[in-house]
Amino acid sequence: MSKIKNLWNNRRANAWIFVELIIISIVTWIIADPVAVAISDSSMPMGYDHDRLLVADIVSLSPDAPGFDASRDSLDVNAADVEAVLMKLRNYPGVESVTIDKGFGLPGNESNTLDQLRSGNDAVDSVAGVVNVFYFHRGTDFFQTMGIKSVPGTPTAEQLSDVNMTLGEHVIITRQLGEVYWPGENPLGKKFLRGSKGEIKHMTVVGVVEGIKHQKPYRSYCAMFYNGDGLFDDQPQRAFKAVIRMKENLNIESECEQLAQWGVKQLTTGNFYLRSVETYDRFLERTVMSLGIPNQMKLRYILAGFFFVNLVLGIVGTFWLQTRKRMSEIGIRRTFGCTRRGIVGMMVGENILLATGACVAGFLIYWQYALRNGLDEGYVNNGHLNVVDNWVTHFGEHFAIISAIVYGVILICVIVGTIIPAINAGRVEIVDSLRSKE
Amino acid sequence: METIIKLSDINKVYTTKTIETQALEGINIEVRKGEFLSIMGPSGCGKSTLLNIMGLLDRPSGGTVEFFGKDLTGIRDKDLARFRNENLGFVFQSFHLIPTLSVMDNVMVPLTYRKGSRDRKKAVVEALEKVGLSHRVTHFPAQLSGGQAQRVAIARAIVGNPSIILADEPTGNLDSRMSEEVMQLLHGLNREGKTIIMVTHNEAQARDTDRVIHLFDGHLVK
Repeated sequence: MSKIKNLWNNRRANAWIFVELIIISIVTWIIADPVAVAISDSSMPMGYDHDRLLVADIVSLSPDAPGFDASRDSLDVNAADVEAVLMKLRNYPGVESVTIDKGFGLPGNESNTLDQLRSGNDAVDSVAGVVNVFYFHRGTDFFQTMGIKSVPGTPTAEQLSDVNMTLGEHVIITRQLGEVYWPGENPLGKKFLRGSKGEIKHMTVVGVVEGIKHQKPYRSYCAMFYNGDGLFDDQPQRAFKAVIRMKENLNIESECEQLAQWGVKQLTTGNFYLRSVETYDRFLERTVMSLGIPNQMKLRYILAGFFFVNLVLGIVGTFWLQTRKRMSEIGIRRTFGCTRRGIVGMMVGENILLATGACVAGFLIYWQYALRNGLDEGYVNNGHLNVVDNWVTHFGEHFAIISAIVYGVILICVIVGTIIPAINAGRVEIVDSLRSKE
Repeated sequence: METIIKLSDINKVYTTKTIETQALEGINIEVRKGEFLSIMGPSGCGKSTLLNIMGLLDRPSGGTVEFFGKDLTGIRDKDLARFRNENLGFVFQSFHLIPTLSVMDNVMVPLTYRKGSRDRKKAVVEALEKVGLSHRVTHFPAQLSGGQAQRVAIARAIVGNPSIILADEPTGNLDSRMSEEVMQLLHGLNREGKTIIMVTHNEAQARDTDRVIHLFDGHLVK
């Protein structure tokens, strides 16, 4: 009560600080929201086991390159050479399984394809949305190699890798995508609707797997898998990626180096040679860079850090001056029985109250803005379907969490900004404090 | 009468990077309960320093300060603060009122730091009645005359019912009429049993007290 009274008695000096803190709370909100959402989204699991994966980039000599063997450029021989490379990799010590990506097959790939769907027989009321599409090849252990788990009660990953699917007629979807179209139901056997009037086709769900994220900063776990057999087979393969799952308890970094050295000679088959090998984690980091998102995130972190440093310095400076102005009062209070700790408690307590009041006011102002313009959604765009049900997607929870973060940050700044000058002021001899003219 | 303050061989040296100044040297004083003691001496002789040491606002460089037979030299800040709060009242030449607090709140300051102090407002009003300013509770220091401000300071000094009041040139900033009022108040308090130690330049005021000690260049001369 006495602290509120002190604040009120010093209202002229405190009014400016109060207004300053309101502005700071709003600006901190604007900066903290996207940073917190980006950190939250990035820390959400990818949804598949990528820790033990390597990616080998296999390319063919170009037809005009010296050493190109034109006799191995027929479709049959080319396909046999691709298979031979995969077989060599499968027989490499420590390899558990290998799958192939001829294009658009890998989560985290630089370029991915999207598809737009509707559910059911009538297209009128159903959800239409953009979904990431990945193409896999039957019989290449795709799901078990990628560590994508099937949903219990549906075909296993091993079964899905070998399932008989026709492009455009069958699809494997993530559980989260199923929840969008058929909430609370088992999506197995359900049909999607593709195309427009007059050319409507149905696509049956033949498998359901746990959700995967395409890129680390994304939040959507909605994705689907098409059988890409035949899709890339009308011309000789010039490049493909082999994804290699290593056995457990191996050092993935050193295995990657060893495989790279071994592969230079051993993987050269026909016109194919090993261009590079990297861990899947490195592959994900590199590909996400091409989207520019890490740079945006870095910029946000740098801005947030810069703002935070200035915030601390600004608040420390303001409260330092305020404390210096109260030296005489500090001397009087200590004369009449206040301890050094009491001085620190009084100053910190008053400023915490001031900051709390300012934050409440600032948050109420931002609340009005947020009601109209919404809160930060992270890197969910292009109409991607998203059914992640977490704090980011719930307005109230989102607002409360960011407000708590902002309040915490401001409180820390205020405490740091007050406690140092207050301790210093408490250390000054009482007689010197009393002599202070401020 | 019982000795309530005993200063033994008190020294005070102010040290800067280049010089040392001996403010007090070999001071021995005993103050008895209920006594009205004046400290006189020329400017810069160490009167206020001595009063600050007696009031536990400053620490001596050497010697001991005893209150009620107990050596308080070197006790913790917390214990020192409590002792000042319960036993000592201070009146300063420049009043030292907190400009942002009302008269009521200024007088209440000592009670704020006292545990279990209930009915603070009543105690404040009683103290203000004693100095004739109970009608000024809502005023701020800037709205008071010098004499009124000093009376508020006296009310603050007595509100916690301390047994000892230390006054550092309490009339130094007042005209003669207001000085007279303040001195009457202090004498009245002394009659009620308070021990009063006052630093003054005014010989007439000093003569009216029980005992006068003189300081010169940091030494006790009489």
